[in-house]
Amino acid sequence: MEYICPYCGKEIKGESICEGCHKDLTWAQKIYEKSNGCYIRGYHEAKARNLTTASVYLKKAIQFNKYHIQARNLLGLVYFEKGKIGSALKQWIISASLKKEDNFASEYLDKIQKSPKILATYKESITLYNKALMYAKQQNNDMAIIRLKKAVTLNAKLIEARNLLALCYVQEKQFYKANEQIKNVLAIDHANSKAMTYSRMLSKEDTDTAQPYELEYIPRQVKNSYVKPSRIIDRSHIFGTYVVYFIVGALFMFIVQASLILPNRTKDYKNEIIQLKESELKLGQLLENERQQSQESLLALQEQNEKLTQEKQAVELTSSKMAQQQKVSEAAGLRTNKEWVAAAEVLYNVAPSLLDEQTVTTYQTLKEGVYEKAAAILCDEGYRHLNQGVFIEAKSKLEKAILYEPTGTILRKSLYYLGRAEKGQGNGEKAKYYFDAVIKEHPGTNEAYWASGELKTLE
Amino acid sequence: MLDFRKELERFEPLLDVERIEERIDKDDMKDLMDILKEFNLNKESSTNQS
Repeated sequence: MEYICPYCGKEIKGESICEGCHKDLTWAQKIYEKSNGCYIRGYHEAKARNLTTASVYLKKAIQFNKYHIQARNLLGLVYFEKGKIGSALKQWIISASLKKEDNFASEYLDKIQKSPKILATYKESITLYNKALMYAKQQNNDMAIIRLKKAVTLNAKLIEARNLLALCYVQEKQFYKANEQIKNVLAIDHANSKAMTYSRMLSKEDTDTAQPYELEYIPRQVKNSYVKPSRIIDRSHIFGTYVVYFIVGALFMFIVQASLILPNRTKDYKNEIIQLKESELKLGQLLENERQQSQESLLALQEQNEKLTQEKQAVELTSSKMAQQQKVSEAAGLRTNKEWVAAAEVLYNVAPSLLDEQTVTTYQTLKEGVYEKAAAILCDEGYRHLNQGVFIEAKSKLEKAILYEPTGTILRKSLYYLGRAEKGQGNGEKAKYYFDAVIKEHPGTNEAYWASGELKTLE
Repeated sequence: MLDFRKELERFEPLLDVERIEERIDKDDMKDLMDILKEFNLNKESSTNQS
């Protein structure tokens, strides 16, 4: 057996005297033998899966000899198997520090360091257990149970969590569930003292039947097999169910759409159409009303216009009548003053149709008296202008004379004189016309004779 | 029947995984040999004094 000299620290292989410091090591040998004995017993207990008993012996082994690497490593393994990861790591770390080479503890530590996810899972399970213990001590069993269930799911070998969970279930009178947990504990650690205590207590209770309040969780029966915690959820077997659910849901939505939503929309649209039609009718009526009103207004305006036009015409007529009367009065005045030509000119511009009966008589009377005298005067003036060679003025006078007195002597003379005026201007054709008129209309007169003479000169 | 509170006292918090090196105290590194050494040293020192 190898051990360390307590005096000088040299490694000794079973000698009773230290080669380094030459001290007696008989007493040390006995202690180391005791340590080894505990280790062997711990080893056998661990092999028989009496982990709690094994840990007790192994602790004693390292208490006798802290350099007993095998005992420390095995103790770490026992702790690991019981789910006490922190304690296991502690023992391996101490072991690795005491003996750096050729030590299984280094391998164990490497393996754990290479699996950070698993380490994180174990860490979470321990955290949950610690919190659950705190809740349980605060009499909050529900919260404790929730966390313990989670901890056990993450680390199925965490015996302390299962024991505490069993205790909480016992407190809640859920003996079926408590029994399940205890069975799991005893499967891992056959001689676990707590589990055996609870098992003895539960033997008096009915643990075969799950009560109604326990039915929300019935764990699977695990017989001598480890519950492997897994983060991967396999949904492949329920994928088909999801697809069916999706199709059914889509179909249902289609039915709802067709039977409820679309008819309502159609109804809304129809209502909107009706409202729009009503609005259109109203607008049409308004437009018709407006049109009628406009037409009526137009008619009224037209009537008013006609009325005004008539009034205007009446006024104009009255005004014209008054003007004509004024002219007659003026002509009468000119006659009184013996201005025959001016009076004839005024009378010539009078419209007899606009005169009243009395004024027409006056007008006729005036006309008879004035025209004759004016024609004579104009004829004479025309003759004078003719003799003076002022043919244009002569023609003007003579034409006016014909207007006022288109018959008799004045006409005869005027025609003749006009012929002579035209001849004087060199208008032969016109002169002929006048001379012919004199000859045809007034034959046998002096003017006819003179006209024929003039015609001969023209030819 | 179990006494819940009494049973609860048997449970202790578990050692956390983080910073384990800091949790290793001197008692973890002490065995019977160290205790006997201390005892011998005290005995020798008291013998020398007398």
